[in-house]
Amino acid sequence: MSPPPRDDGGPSGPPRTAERLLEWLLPPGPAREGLLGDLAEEHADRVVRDGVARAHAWYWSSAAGLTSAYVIERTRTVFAGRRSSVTGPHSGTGLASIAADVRYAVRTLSRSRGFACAALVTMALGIGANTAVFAVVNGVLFRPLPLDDPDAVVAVDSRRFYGGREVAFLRVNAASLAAVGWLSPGWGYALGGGAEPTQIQAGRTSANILDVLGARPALGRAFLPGEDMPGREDVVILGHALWVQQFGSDPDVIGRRITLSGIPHEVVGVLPPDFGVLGTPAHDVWMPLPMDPSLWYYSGGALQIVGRLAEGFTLAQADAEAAALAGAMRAEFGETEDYAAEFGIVTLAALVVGDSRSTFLLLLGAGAFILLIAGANLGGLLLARTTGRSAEVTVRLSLGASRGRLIRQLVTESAVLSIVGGALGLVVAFVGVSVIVRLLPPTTPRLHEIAVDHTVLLACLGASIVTGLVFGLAPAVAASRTTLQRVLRETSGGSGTSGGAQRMRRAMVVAQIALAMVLLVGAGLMIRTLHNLGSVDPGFRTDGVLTMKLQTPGLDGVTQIYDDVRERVRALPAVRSVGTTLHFPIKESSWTARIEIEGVQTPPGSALPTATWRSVDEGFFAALAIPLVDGRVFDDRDGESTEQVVVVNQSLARLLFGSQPVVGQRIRPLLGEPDQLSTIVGVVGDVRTQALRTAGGPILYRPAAQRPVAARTLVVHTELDPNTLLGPIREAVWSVDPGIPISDVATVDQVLYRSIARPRVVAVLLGTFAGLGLVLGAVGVYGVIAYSVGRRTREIGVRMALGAEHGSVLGLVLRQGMALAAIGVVIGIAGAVLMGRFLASMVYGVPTTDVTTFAVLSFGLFMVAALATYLPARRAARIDPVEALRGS
Amino acid sequence: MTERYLGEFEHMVLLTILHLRSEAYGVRIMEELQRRIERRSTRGSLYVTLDRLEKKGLLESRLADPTPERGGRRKRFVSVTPAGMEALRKSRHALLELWRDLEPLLDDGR
Repeated sequence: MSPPPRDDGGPSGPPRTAERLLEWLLPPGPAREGLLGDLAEEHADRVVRDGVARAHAWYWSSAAGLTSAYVIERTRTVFAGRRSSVTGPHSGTGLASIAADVRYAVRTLSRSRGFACAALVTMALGIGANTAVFAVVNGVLFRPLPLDDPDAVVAVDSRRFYGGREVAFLRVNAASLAAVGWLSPGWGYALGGGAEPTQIQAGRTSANILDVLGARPALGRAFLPGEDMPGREDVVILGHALWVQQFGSDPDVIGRRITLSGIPHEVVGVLPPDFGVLGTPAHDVWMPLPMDPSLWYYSGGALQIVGRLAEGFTLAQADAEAAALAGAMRAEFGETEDYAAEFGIVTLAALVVGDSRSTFLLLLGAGAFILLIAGANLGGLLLARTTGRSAEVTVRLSLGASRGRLIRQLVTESAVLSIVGGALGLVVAFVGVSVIVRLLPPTTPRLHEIAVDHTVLLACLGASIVTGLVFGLAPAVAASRTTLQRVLRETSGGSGTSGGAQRMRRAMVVAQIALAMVLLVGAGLMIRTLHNLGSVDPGFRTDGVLTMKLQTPGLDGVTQIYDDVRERVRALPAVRSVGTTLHFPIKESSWTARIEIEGVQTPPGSALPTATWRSVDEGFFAALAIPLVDGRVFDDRDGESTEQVVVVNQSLARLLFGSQPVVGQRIRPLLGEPDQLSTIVGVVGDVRTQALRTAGGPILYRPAAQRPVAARTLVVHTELDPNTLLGPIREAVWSVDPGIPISDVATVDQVLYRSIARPRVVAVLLGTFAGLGLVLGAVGVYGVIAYSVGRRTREIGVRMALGAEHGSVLGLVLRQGMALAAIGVVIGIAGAVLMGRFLASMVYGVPTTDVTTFAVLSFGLFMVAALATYLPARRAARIDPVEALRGS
Repeated sequence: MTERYLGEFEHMVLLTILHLRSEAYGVRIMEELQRRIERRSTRGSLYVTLDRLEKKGLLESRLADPTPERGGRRKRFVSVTPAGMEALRKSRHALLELWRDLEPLLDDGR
């Protein structure tokens, strides 16, 4: 089964972002329903006729046209018959006078289009970028999980796995937890009965899971107590998406029996649409996971103990109680010293978001920076504008307008600019959100919950208003200080505004450069990180290898089926080697086992060595070119009933035996099955398994023939471009059994590329923001210097008349701009060093205070500032002294 | 309040709806306008006009059942209300009145 649609409404549905924009713009009702339906209908026609890309383009342009038509119509009805003759802002208070101020502001702004456009574009970009990032962070971090009283849903936080024994203990002893259950991401099942073989992902839980989470099925019932006991677990609750897609939203599905990997299960319920508790929507169904309450381990992979806080207990109390219970548990179970060392309680939301929290907070910070840069830019523009308006201000002051009244009018003007800019920013945000969602890895927690919702709209509005007020107030106050005398004095001196305003402008330019510098360093470090990650050697072959997930309907004859699949795929022309594995490195996290060495008594209280394990077949090592260091890899000798054998990687060999010979040694991996002694037959090279950035650690390989699994990844090494072989490989697989679902097709290159999606999205966003900041900062420098040159025309003329060279005038102006840039860069470097702490967990292979990065980017920023200064400086150097003096 | 006559586009839309009888909804109206008088209207202006006519009480709409090819959304069929018929009658009358005796002018260009 393919993952649910992300931004496109399915393969041929209308683009979701555009549809959401329209949904949001138009009032709900039959008109909207009909319109969206018409668009969907015509879009579907166009997909058939012109292809998806052109149909999407058509939809977007239609959406844009509709938007403007509706906005014009709305404006027309609001303003129809209201063209009153307001000649200037009235004094007075209340809404009427604010409305008058707003109208006056709109009129004034529409007279100076250039200024208004510059300010609006600045604000649209600033607020748009900030809002887009906020929408993403809000969806992932801030919005409560869609559960009843989500803050009460907690989980045991630990790196160690716990099992039925601990659940039973907590159920009896933890007063702060009203209900305790378990939750596992589960694994794949083959869904029978459909036209095409389908693989679905089943989450596995305790029977009380919906009580713990505070969710109710949309249809049918929850699991009953006892349905998580062995032998009673043949019931299933369908996820909403699967119910719609596979069962046509049929309410009579309750009570029906469906076949999952060959075993019939009774459908007892259907979940509500927004149920995505582990942060990914990828679970198609939920099934009980039987767990023996006497066992300390659970062999099926990652398991999460979850619970609901009892009435009257806080998270802190539950955490403290858990810490206290850890000791009691250790004593009761006779466990070692390290057992439950970090046994704590956190909210499920915190656990779901996990370590992506820092990434998203960093992006939020970058969004705030870009908003500050835009605000400073707006402030600079407003200050420049007050210069040109000193005459107007003076006249109004001398006619009796109060300073407060004047400030209010000017602030209204900046508020209008920032609110309209914010509205435009919302469009930028809609596009931005869909771009970011596309960039984010599909495994991002709560990805499907990212949306421009009411919180985001409010935040956008708030950001707009605050920006307008904060960055509009200072220029307004500066302007209102203008007095008649000063205007007269300064005009005769060739100046039009107070020195205070000019100082403030410079401060804003310095701030912009400093903020841009921080963003640039962040982007630079992340781009180097990407480059470094891209050149990591994972320890296995990366090009010319195709992978895909297969799933046999059940475990019966699974070894024979996979042997046949391997044989037929290898018989294809251009195929060099074929293997299979449970859990492909880097793409899928693997399960862990503790290991005993034969004849070695573990001293009580010390921990056993741990390794991740994989079930692989003989072709796996060849297909991925994992080197054999000693002994042999698996072959035909290793069958179901022969001696248990394993292959270890070099890290595990070192961990278990140091520099002793390894091949021939016997170990007992504790896997929760009847644990048998296994002989190590070979040692292979290390590979990266969790991520490109971390060493793979100890790995235990078990032969698939001795540890059969139904869901495996097929690994095919080819001579040609692997994508061209997909068709023949499919045919070969289905010639063995047409009921085998094939999913998740990707080359190894693609797997690795996707695995670094998170640093990539950070690099792309920081890079975009840094570029934006650089442009805005350069415009700011240019504005200040150009203004200053204009103001000093007469002074420069005098200097030149007195014999100053062109070069010295050029230098004079350049020095002025360079001084601003230098101060900004120095402050920015300090800020970037501080930011480095937040980046530390994200960068790879480069220190966050990397001198080269800092030096190159400081120099680059300096050069951009120099260019922005050079243009007005050149103009200054070309001043004709005669003209300049005559002009005054 | 002075009574207004139908705008040109409103007039055309109402007539098209009458031609389509019970089959009138957004996409069909656009196609029909194009087919009959080769008028290419933008989607925006058509929907805004439909909304406006409904608000004025000259149109009414009903929703049909959702269909899969419409992304599960329902179709909004529109039909002309008695008030709409009255407005059409009035506009037609006014136009005919104004045209009276002017037809020969149209032939001049030949």
